Amino acid sequence: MMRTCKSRLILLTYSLKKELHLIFQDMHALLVLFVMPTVFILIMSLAMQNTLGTQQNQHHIKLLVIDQAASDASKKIVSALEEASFILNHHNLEIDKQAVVTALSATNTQVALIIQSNEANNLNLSLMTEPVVDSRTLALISQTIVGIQTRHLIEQLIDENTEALTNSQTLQTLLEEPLQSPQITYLFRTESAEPDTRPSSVQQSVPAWLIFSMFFILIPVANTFINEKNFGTLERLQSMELSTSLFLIGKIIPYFLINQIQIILMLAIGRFGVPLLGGQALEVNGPFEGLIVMGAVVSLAAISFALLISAFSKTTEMSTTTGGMINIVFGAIGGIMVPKFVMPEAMQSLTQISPMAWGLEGFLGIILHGQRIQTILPEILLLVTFAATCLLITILKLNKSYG
Amino acid sequence: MISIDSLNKSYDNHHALKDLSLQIAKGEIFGLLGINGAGKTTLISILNGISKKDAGTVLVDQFNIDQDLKKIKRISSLIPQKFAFYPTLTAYQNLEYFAAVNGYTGNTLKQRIHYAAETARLSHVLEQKATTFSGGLKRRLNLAIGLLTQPKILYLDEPTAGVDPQTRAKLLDEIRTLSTHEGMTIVYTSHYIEEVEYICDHVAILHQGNIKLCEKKEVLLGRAPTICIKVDDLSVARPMLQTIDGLEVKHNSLCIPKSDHFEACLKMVLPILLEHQVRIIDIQQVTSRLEDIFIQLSRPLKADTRINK
Repeated sequence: MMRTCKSRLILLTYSLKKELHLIFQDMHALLVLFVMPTVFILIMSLAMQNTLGTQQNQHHIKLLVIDQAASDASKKIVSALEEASFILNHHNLEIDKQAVVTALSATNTQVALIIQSNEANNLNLSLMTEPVVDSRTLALISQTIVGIQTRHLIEQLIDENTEALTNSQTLQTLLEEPLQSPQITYLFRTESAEPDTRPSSVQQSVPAWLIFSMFFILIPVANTFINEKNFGTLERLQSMELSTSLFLIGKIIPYFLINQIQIILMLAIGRFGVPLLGGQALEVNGPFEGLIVMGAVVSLAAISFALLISAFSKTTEMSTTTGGMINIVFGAIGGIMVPKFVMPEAMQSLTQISPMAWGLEGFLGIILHGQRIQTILPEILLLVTFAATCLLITILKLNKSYG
Repeated sequence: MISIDSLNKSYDNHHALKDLSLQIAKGEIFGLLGINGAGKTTLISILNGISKKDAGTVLVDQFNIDQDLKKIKRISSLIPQKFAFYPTLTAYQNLEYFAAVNGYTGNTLKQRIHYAAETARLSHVLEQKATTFSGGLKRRLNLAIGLLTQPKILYLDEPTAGVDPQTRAKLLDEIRTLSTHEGMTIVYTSHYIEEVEYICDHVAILHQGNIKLCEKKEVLLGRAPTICIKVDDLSVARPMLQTIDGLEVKHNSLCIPKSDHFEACLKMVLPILLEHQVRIIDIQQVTSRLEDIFIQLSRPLKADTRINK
C-alpha cells in the first residue's frame, strides 16, 4: 500500500492518540510536567518577592558605609542615616570593586555608601550595589541622603544667617553642588540589571520554571521510546513501511502539544494563581505572538534533546538519570534556579552555553522588556539550531542501529 | 518465494552469516533451527529490512531486496519474539495504530482490524488493555498485528515462547491454518524442536552463520535411523568403546546411526563386546527425531565454541 498524504495525516493522528494515551497513563511524567512547575512557580514567586522587584522597609535596609572623607559634613550624614533607622556597618578600605564585593559579603550587606571629598572639599557620594537590590530601595536611600544634605544645608544657612538667604544667585550656587543624588554603580553589572529592567519575582519564576519543566518532557519521551526499543516495537515499526523521519514527527507532534498545554497553564498560574496567594500578577509587556514563537522553539529544543538522549540510552533509568542531570545543569547555569543578573560575571558568561538560558532570555525579552520577535531572533535561531542538531544526530543513530 | 544466495553479514569482528544460501518455496512452513548465536535473528532482520546485508543476493517474491525493499515490506510481516506492542493500550488501539502505520485509512483500516482480530481469535477482548492479557492472548495480539496487512510471507520468531502447552497447541494449529487456508509462506523459528517437527514442512538447521542442513521434514526424519544395541554390563568395555567414531555409548546401550560408516563401526564394536564377554540383550532400530539430528549437528559447534573461548 502506497503511503499517501492522507494516510500520513491519519498516521500522525493515530500517533498523537497513542502517545497521549501513553502519557496520561504515566502519573510520574504528569507530576513532573505539570505539578512540579506549578509548585515551583508558586513557591519561588512568593519566596523571592522580597528580593526581586519589591521595595524593602527602610528600617531593615543595611548600608555599608565607607567614609573616606572623614569630615564633619560626612559624619553628619552618617549620623543622620543612623537616626533615619538605616542599619550601618562601617568599613575603611580602598574603593576597588572587588574589595567592596568582599566587604559586602563579609558584612552581609548589599549596598555600600562611599563618601569621598574632592579638591574643593565638597563631598562626593556614591552607592555601589549588588544588582539584586531593587530600584525603589536604591531610590529610597538616595532620597534619604539628599534629604539629609538639604536639611544640613538649610540648618547651616539659618545658623550663619548670611546674606545668602536674600541673594538668590548665591543660594542657588550653594544648593546645586551638595544636592546631587549619589551616583549608583552596579557590581556584576549586566544589561538586565538596570533598575527599571529587572524582572519581578513572578516575571522571573514563570518563564524559568516553565522552561525547566518543558525540558523534562524527557521523562515521557524516554519512557515510551525506550520501551519501544526494548519491547521490539521499534524493530516491528522498522520492518513496516515507516521512515525514521515520519516516526520521529509522529513523536514530536504529541509532545509539542503537551508543551503548549504547559505554557498556557503556567502563564495562567503566574497571572491568576500567584496573586491569590498574595504575590504579584504576571505582567507581559510584549506581544502575545512572541510568547507563541518562543514556546514553540523551546518545545522543539526540549523534545529533540529528549529524543537524542532516548536514542542513545538502553534503559529508562539511564535516560532519566543522564538527561535529568544534564537538565539540572542546564537549569543551574542557565539562570533558572538563580537569576542571571545576580550571578558573578564569570557565571553570567557561562549561561550562554545553556539552551535553557536562550529560552529564558527570549521569554524575558517579551515578558519584561516588551521586545518584538525580531529583537529575540538570536535566541530563536540558537534554539532552532540546537533542535535541528539533536534531531539530525538522532536520525543518524536510529538509521545506524536499524539499517 | 524466497531465494537467498551467498548472504554475508558481519558485526564488528563477528561473522554472523557466512555465504548463506537458502530457498523457501511458496506456501510452505519453513522451520529455522539453531542454537543462540547461530544467525537466525540476523537472517530474519535482513529479510525484513531491519539490518543491511554486507554481500549476497536476496530475492523475495522475485523482488530484489536491494532495489525493492519497500515492495518486499508490503508483502511480508514480522512477528517478533517480544511482545512488540503497547501494553497500556487496548488491543483495538494497538491494532488501530499499527494499521495506520501500514498506511490504511477509513473503512479499509476497520476491515483490516476486523480480519486480524478474527484470524487471531481476539475479537472478544478488543476493548481490554493488553497489559491485562494472559501470555496466550499477548501472543495472539502480537500475531494479529502481523496479520493486519494479510501478508504473503509471515516471519514468526519464537511465537509460542512463554505460553502454556494447551495454548501453544491452539496457536500452532492456527498458524498451520494460515498456511493451508490463506496460502501464506511462513518462516518459523523456535527453540521448541517438537514444535518445528510438528508444524513445519521444511527444516533448516543454522550453524555458525551457515545452513548445516536443509531438507523436507519427511526426508530429514526418515533418513538416518539408529541401531541401538542393549547390553547387560558396559563397565569394563566402556573406555575402549568410547574411542570409536560415530558410536554413542549410553548407560547400557550402544547407538550407531545407520549411515555409510555403520558397517565399519559395527565391525569395531562387536570384537570388543566379545572380548569383554558383554552379553547383548536386545537390538532395535530407532527412527530419528529432529531433536537427535539437531543435537548431533549442534554438538561440534558447542565444542568449537569452548575451544575458541
